[in-house]
Amino acid sequence: MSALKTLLKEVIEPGLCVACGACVSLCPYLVFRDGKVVCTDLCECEQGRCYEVCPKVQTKKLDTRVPPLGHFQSVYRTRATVDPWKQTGQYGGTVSALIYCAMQEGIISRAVLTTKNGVGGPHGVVAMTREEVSACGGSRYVGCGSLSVFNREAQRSVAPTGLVALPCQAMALSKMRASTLTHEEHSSSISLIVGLFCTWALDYRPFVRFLKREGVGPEIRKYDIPPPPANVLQIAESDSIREFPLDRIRPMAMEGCGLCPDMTAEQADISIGALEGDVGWNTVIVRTELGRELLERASGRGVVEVAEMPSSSLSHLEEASVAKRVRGSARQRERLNRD
Amino acid sequence: MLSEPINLVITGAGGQGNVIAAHWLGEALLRNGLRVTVGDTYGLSQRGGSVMSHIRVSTDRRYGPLIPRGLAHVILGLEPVETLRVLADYGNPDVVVMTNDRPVYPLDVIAGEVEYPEPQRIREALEELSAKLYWISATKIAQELGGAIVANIVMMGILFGAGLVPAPNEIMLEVLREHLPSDKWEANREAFYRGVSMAIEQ
Amino acid sequence: MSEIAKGQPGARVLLMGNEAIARGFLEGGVQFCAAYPGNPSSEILENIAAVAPDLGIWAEWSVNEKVALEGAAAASFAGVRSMAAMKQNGVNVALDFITNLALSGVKAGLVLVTCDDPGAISSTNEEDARFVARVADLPLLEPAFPEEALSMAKYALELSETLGSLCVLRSVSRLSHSREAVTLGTLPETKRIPEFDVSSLWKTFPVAPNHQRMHRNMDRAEAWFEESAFNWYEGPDRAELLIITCGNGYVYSREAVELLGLGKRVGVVKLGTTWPLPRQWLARQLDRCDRILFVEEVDPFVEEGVKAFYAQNCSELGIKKFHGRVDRTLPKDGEMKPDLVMLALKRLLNPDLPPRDREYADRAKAVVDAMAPPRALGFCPGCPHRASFWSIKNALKLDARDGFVSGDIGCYTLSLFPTGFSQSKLTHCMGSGLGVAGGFMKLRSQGFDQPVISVVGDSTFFHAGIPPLVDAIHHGAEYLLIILDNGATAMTGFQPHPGLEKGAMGPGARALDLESVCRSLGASVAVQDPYDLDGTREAIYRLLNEEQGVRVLILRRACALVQRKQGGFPYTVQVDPQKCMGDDCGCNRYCTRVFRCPGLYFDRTTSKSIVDEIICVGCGVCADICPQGAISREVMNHAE
Repeated sequence: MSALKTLLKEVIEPGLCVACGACVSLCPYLVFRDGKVVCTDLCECEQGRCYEVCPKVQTKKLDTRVPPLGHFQSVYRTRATVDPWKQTGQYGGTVSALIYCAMQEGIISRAVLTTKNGVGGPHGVVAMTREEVSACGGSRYVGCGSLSVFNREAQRSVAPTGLVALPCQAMALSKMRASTLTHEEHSSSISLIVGLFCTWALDYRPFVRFLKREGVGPEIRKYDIPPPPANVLQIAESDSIREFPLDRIRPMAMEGCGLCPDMTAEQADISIGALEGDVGWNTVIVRTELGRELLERASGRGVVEVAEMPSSSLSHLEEASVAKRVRGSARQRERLNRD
Repeated sequence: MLSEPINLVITGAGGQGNVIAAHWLGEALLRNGLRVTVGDTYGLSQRGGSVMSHIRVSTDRRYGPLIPRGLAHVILGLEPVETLRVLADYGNPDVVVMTNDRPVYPLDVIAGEVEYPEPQRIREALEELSAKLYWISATKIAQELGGAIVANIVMMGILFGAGLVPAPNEIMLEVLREHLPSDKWEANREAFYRGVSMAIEQ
Repeated sequence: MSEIAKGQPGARVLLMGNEAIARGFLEGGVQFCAAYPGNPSSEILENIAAVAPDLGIWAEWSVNEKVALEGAAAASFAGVRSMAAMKQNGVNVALDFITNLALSGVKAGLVLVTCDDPGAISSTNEEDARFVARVADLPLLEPAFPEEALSMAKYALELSETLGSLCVLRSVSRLSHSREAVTLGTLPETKRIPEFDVSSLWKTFPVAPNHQRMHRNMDRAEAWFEESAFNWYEGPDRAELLIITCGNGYVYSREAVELLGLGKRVGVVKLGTTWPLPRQWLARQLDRCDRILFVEEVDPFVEEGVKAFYAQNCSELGIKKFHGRVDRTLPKDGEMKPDLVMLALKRLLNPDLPPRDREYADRAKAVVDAMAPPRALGFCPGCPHRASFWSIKNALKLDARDGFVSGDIGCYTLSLFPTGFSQSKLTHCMGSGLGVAGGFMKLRSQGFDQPVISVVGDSTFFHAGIPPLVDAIHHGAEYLLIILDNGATAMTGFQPHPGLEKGAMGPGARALDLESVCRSLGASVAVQDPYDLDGTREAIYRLLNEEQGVRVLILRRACALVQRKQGGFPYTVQVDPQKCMGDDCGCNRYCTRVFRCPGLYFDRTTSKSIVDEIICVGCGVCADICPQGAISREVMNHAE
């Protein structure tokens, strides 16, 4: 069976695709459209890059010795201290600030980010200027296939690229680097991976039908899931904010997310998420040398403020991370046994 | 001379012009005072499928448009695989085969799903299954003479040069001249005579 | 100039069956000829139309066969001889009018020609349209070779006029398209002036007396058929086996008998008037022999007719044994061939023959099976349908809701196969794609949620697509209708249709505007050039998601064969072997293996795609397919 057929059989047809986009734009057979990865024709390659990079393909058993937050050097709380990041970012605005800083420092010359809106919903986009980075600030909660844009750009030209990646996307990029099938020039463009914390992402098409029925959109200013006990998804339009109980929203999460064991993007250089109890800050997990250096330089430039991570927040984060890991592995086992 | 009725099959891939060739051949035979029936298989087959014409020639009797299995005297093919295909149904140990050697690749071959046999293998198979084989690079010759389109005329020349058609060259040329555009006549005439001389040489 | 007009009376001309029929009608004084294109009948009207303006008679491609026959009937009511020609499916379309016209009768000679397609060489079904003669009580003539087709066409007009009844002439593909020498007769010197007698009434009721009149007509026809020169017997006075045959079966039977050396043992009863059967004449033939083999195609029409009258009279006729399609001495389906008759004769008579050399046949078959790749049907290089179905396939995949295509009849019927990316899931008859698509959409209220695309060609749309579109709009069956407008009735030979400013006899017809027709019915209409792959895909994707009202998308681009005749295509196309990725992950022969245009070929020795310059026409569409941009199209310098 060809690699593509196997990918279809193991991931796409069972509905486990999480729309990371890593398999898209490498060939004409896989296309990303309106939040969905679609196969237009069958290819007969015995070995294929699509199968190699897919984060939902089980390659090895979960290593239980890995710490709850994955391998890391240190954890901080941070926030952006300058505009526009203070205004446009989610919570502390650290992601946008670090990406732009990486550009200024010459670590990357371009970044693959996600639009807020647009035809077909949030999707990947290449940013090279301050304005372009700023336009992409904020969380999405929707599968948006942005790695397809990386694939397209990396084939057009080799250049140091920064990627903002969900845990599945960070895993895919890691597999891309490790695979012998990946073209050298292609993976050499991967210079910086800024990971995002994630519990689940929504399936765009059912979500957009839901919004339409509820009279929301099409332009969304901001999404937010406020800290417990709120238990809602907030959607800000240009002049109003709508709230929906998470119980109505969660059923639209992608099924593949339920099998994911990674909450904090363990394969990134630096992972960023919310800080429990304070909407003005981010939690930042520094994992690699590059991640540490970037944070240092951003701090040195006065773009972000770095402070100590409160220990109770840290242990709660670890608990949440472990819980997702346990849930994810259990669902994976269930699936394997079922098949 | 071949026994009656003389049975000729002209075959090719859809769009190659073998139906018209059979028609003109029929006309030439009629003008030579013979009784002729030309039966064509076409229709959907125009869209790339196989196309075949059966020509029955007799001095005194009417025959049907279909040659009974295994009774062809001559098979003239404009495409090598089609020539081979026709042999299975209409060939016999005494059949004379003349074919253009240029493949027209079927869609499944183009798609890489099936292999097209090596021309040498086709040639060997045709030699094995016939009394005599004329293996002609008609398209190549036609291209030298001004265009691939006159390949069929080269093959008509082969047919006449082999002496299997009960009609003189002149009558065939008369028919061709009436139907072909006058500004292309010289090239077509040349093509016909090339075929004739090639057949005589073999 | 049409073959049928070349040559003086008395000349011997090589004509195909259809040309002979056309000539026969002209010699019989036909003045109004109507048809709808359909293989194997199209050449009849084509040839008449070529000479119609010079002769001052009317020839038209009607919008469908029912209208064709209705028009021809009007001519007949106005005292002018007429004919309508069609393939077997056309008889089905015209059947309601046929059965009623049989009751009303006709005035001047009117002949219906049906050209059947045994073996479905180019049809969706295999149907014996002779049933119409029995159902509607009409005289039926079946020629056995082109020369007879000419004389029968002429005779049919006279017979029809004498009886005051529609008359049926039946041909099959092998007869319509086979050529032989035919002697031309004379064309009439004068023409009739059409005029409708307003004191006459042409209606079907009261039905019973009209039905009785039809039966009396059949009796009169039978009396003439008893003496007809179209029926004859060849063979010994008394035979061991009698072949009763009609149509092509006659020439096959004769050849089979000759090849097996059975001339002294087997007699051939050749019937040209196959309904009503000349029963007394047949009874005399049956007297020669107790074993009868029926050779005809496709249905055992004559076989059952003869058996019926035999059953009625068996005490006089004695015990007979009948063989044919019913007892499967001959296969029950498929076209007749001389080999099948030979097999039947061998089985029935066990002639003393040397054992046939099977060795060659087996050897040849083994070689062909091993070596010869099948030759599948496909769209021509440059065909806009290939581009259209490519975009449909992609749009449906992107839509990802298990949408599908309800197909129709034309070149694009091939979208059932890989050449059209296997998009069409349903195909039956002309216009049925729309009615079926409508049916699916009417299941929405019960939970059906898949998008349906109805695809139809321009000619088919005018032929049979308007009533179901009306129905869909009225019932709110909101599908996407894609009309493939290539400006021709292409599959059958590029006949004009109501969307064009020309008719069978040349320019001067009025063109109906497809957009206006659809809009005025209440559909929304968009137009795209199918060669624009991205634009077309986006239009279809957008329309699939709109789902409000019946949406019509017209994909307009002339047929590739028409474009070629009109001066060709603008591009030279080339593959850059440096950029071509061939078999590798990232391409895997996308242009040859998936897009499948015959203008491109994958060279296994170099592992690259190349353009086949003889087949490629230069449409340039593939340049937009290649994921590496390895295919380029350059505007040709026309000075070259």
